[in-house]
Amino acid sequence: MKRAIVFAGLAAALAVLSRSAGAKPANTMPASTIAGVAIRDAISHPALRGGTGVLYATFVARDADVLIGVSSPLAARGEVHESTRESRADRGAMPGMGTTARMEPVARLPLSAGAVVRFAPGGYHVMLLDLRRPLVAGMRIPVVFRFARAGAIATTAVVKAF
Amino acid sequence: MLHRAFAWVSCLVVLLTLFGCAKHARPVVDGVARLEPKPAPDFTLTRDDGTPYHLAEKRGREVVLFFGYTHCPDVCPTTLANLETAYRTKLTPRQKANVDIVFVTVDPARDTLAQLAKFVHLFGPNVIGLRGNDVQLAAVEKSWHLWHQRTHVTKRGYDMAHGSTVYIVAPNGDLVAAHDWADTTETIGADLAAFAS
Repeated sequence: MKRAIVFAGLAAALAVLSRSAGAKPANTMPASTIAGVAIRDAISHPALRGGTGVLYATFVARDADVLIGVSSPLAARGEVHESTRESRADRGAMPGMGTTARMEPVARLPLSAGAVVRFAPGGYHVMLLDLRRPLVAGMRIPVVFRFARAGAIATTAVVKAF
Repeated sequence: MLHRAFAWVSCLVVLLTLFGCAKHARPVVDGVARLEPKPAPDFTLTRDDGTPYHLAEKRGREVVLFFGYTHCPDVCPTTLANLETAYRTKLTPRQKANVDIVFVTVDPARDTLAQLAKFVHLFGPNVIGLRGNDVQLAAVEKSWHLWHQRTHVTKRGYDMAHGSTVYIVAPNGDLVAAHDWADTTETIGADLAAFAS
């Protein structure tokens, strides 16, 4: 009996570990799996021409690598940023509720071997700056991510309505 | 004994792994603060259609306020989409008619009324954009104890740090609740419904 419990525990642990390592079957979105980094679930949202678009994706690194750049023909330039929050007790319309949103550029994002890094609201995201066209729901945007070892990996992001 | 140790280690691995996954997920703070009701600091700003928007004249309506800028790619669009979804899905038709979802730009230098109008309409017809000149904005920020700051300024543009709290002004004009921008649609929606007339 005890042995059964131990095995069940180990099986659960392995199942969760393999999930986090990206062994789960690929999601509905096409994955770009050339070289040592897979890029999954690249999505964007509607944005204005001349404005700033966003891009979220999940990176699964088979080998250690560094994300060093991103570009799209639809934007004058692409940058990786990280949103952070700051709480200051002396700010805000009531004491203790004054959170401030900030962004920091991320010139180099190291990915360790086996890492799964999810870009998501409030964390890492790609900024598509000075958009040459408005982004409209349903559009597919070509994007190229540049890695120090894997080189350039092209993928397609789908613009999803908010 | 050894089996028990294995069982504990297995559990620990599961917990640590779950924790490790969670840190990549969107922060769900649900940091609603019910406030000691007090009159919301008044202001008059310009609506994205060019008409004045005077907060004190909105008695009878619930006003939901968020401050940001239209070149903001992450926090502002996520918050506005969340507020719009909460408005659309958690309010009765009668409540909807009496609730304003309001986005105040802290970047009047780039956010003209036309730019603001196009931006808020990305989220549907229910979000109102407000703009003031530098003097008006400074007055609003002072009375609401908010601030903003240009960051990473280059020849090509800048980012902004800005207050990221969602404020609810009740129909009687009192500031009654504050939400973190990352609160869930359910939590914010429940509060919108609770205070709407």
